Amino acid sequence: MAIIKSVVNRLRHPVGAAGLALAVTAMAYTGYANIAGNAQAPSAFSGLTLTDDKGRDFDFASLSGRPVAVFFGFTHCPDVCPMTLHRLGFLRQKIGPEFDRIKIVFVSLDPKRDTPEVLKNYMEGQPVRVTGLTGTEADIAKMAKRFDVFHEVIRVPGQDYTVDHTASIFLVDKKGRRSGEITMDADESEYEKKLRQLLQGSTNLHPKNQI
Amino acid sequence: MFLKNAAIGLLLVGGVVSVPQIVRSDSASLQVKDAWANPTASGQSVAAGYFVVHNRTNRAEVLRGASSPAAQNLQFHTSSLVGGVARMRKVERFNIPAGGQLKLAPGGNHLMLIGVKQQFKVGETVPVTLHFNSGASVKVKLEIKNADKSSSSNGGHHGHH
Ligand SMILES: [Cu+2]
Repeated sequence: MAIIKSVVNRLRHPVGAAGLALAVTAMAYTGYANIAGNAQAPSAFSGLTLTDDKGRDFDFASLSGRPVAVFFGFTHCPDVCPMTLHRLGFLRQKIGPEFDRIKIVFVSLDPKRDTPEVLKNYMEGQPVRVTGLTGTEADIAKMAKRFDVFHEVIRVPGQDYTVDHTASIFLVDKKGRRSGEITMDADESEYEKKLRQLLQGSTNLHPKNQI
Repeated sequence: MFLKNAAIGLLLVGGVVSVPQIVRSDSASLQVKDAWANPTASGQSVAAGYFVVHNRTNRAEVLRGASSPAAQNLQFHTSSLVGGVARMRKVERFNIPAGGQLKLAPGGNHLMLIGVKQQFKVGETVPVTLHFNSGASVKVKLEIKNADKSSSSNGGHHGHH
């Protein structure tokens, strides 16, 4: 197991060993046989387990075949998280109906407060259709780690707590490949450019895909 | 960051000329404009409010507190983005230079309403009183609405510190 792990770690960095990658992909990614044959990295969502805002186990496989925009936050985040949602709302107006091909996923970093019901209420008022996900702390931590998302609970005097968190939107193409990131300080033209690229499938793949 | 905020401030002020909302009280030379807050979801207990204070006096002023019947506890916060990570922290007061302005906007300085008693719904207003060090207080009404484009689609209004 340790050997496989170290191989996986090496594969995550673009070492340029395509032959090695081909040879070991099937072994390293036995859990993802459906795509391992193409010598591709596993889907960005493989092996993740979370609950959707209707209280059901979320079917991550349902994301394959669709461009996906994932971001992390919490519903008790009154300032930054609504900004991201409103910007997506503006881009939806600008890009038009095609925008709705993008599946938007919001992952709560505050499972204690963000029950499926709380998430559902929160998502209903948003300018874009968003699937809210929550889960156990461990499952959320795994999802966050997958996207290199930092998150830390901070006590606030006079208030329970807040959560510092990476506020970027992560783009995943229809083949499940990490294909870009929109940071919170991006301007509207960058949002538009990257979302259109995501829709067209003409994205720069994240190094994690370049095995 | 200040320059960026100032630029966004002009945008915001420019964007709402059709509905000038100037609320004055006992201090005619402290003006609060463009006061608003996002709607809340049912069960959501916190909200953020935004406004611009114009200090038209010839002395510096300090915004030191706020009160409202709509929430249990009102604080001032600032959000910042450092290395892609958004952080929100409490601040005790905001200084407003003589002849200057204080702008609260998404992704930066904001009024934090904690323990919101009723859901904020679009079209409603929420009364808030702002308290200043000089003893002045200004009553404002936060208009509940979704962020308009100028306040939220430009990336310049987070705090780089
Ligand atoms: Cu806050």
